[in-house]
Amino acid sequence: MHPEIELRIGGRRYTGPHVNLAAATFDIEEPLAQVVHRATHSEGPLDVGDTSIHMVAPTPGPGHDTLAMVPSSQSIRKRFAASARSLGLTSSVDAELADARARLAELSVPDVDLEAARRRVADASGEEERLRERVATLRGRLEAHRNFEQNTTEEPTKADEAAVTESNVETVTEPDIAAVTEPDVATIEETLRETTTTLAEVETERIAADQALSRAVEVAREARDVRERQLKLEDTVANREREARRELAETVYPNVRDALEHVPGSDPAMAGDSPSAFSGDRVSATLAAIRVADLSAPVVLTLPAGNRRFTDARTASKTLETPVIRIAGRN
Amino acid sequence: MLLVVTYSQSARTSLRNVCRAHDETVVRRFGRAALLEATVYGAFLALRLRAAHQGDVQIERTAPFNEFETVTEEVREAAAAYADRDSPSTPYAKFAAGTSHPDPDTLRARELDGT
Repeated sequence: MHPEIELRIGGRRYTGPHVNLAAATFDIEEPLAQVVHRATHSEGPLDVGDTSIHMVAPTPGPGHDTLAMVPSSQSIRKRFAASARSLGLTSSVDAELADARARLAELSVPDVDLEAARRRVADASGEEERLRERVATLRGRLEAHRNFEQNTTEEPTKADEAAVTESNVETVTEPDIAAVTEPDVATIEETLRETTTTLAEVETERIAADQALSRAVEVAREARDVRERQLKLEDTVANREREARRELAETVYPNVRDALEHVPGSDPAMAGDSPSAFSGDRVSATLAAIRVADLSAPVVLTLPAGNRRFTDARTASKTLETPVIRIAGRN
Repeated sequence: MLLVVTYSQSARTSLRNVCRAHDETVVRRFGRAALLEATVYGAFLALRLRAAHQGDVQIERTAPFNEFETVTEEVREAAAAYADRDSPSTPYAKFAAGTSHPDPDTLRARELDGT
């Protein structure tokens, strides 16, 4: 009834409807259960580091992925729903779910990237600010010079003359005094002219940068409209999936309750009427779900010593009515 | 304040986690958006979100709105008068027609100062 599987790991070969890897160790970085699970979903061999793993088994069907690893963090409702899917059961929201998924897949979401435009504005504004200050400084110096010259074209007083001879200034014709420790006015004027010209260019660039950012912001707004539609569709898909799972889990629950009777270490009295009423342990729930499911690809059991439900892989496979790969769990 | 708006499930989840972990920097939460304090730390949190989710995170900066500085008396009066109207179902355009209240098209054409 159960297909033979063939598992080749690192040169070793295992066959049968059940495989016991509990005593084996392999030189692989990744957890063995995960590697085996990946191999189940891979057509050809997998390479993990230096080790090659090849699983020859039937292609996994619906629900297999969610049930295949025990234990795992999947919720029991998800496990039950997966069991239902494997049996070909459907939910009343399947059509809506498929529609929302299709619309989501069709959406083409444009990029939104204003960083370059913002940086351009910041650079141009900063440069403009710097140049304005430079122009103001230069104008200030020119002004100071003109005041100085204005004052010194008047008749020098005795105090002025005394100041001149006492200061450490070279003598002494009047036109020289203004020119001594500073560059001359003509130089300052020339620098001011050049700086003013550069400022005008930078100001033009800043205005262009502002406009480019404005346009980019408008484009971004439209791109965000699309992203909003994407988010709403993502939420719709998630909601329909949740509703489907609830329905499927409810539908299959009577079968799960019956199956619990066959699962070693379970307490069928904890089953309750519905998935939400289940108060037993998660491992029992999962094993029951696997027994109910119609899986042709193997599941991987990694139960710790304290929770080992089956004496060997063969018993597990018979109880669960599924091919089993048994791996030593951590204690 | 800084306004952070998310546009994907993962960005929204990240924002929720950030708000939970940095409650003292969150001014207000709105599900997929939040207002953060306008401190460098608030900006830092916003930028971290954008670095993780790129175009799915939008960051804007708010400013307090002072209607006495930003709009004219005419606009303030029109808003108050409209709120006080006799007939609740009258749209503003109709309400303003034939009165001295500004028509909506005129208002739409005017940008606010400082924008």
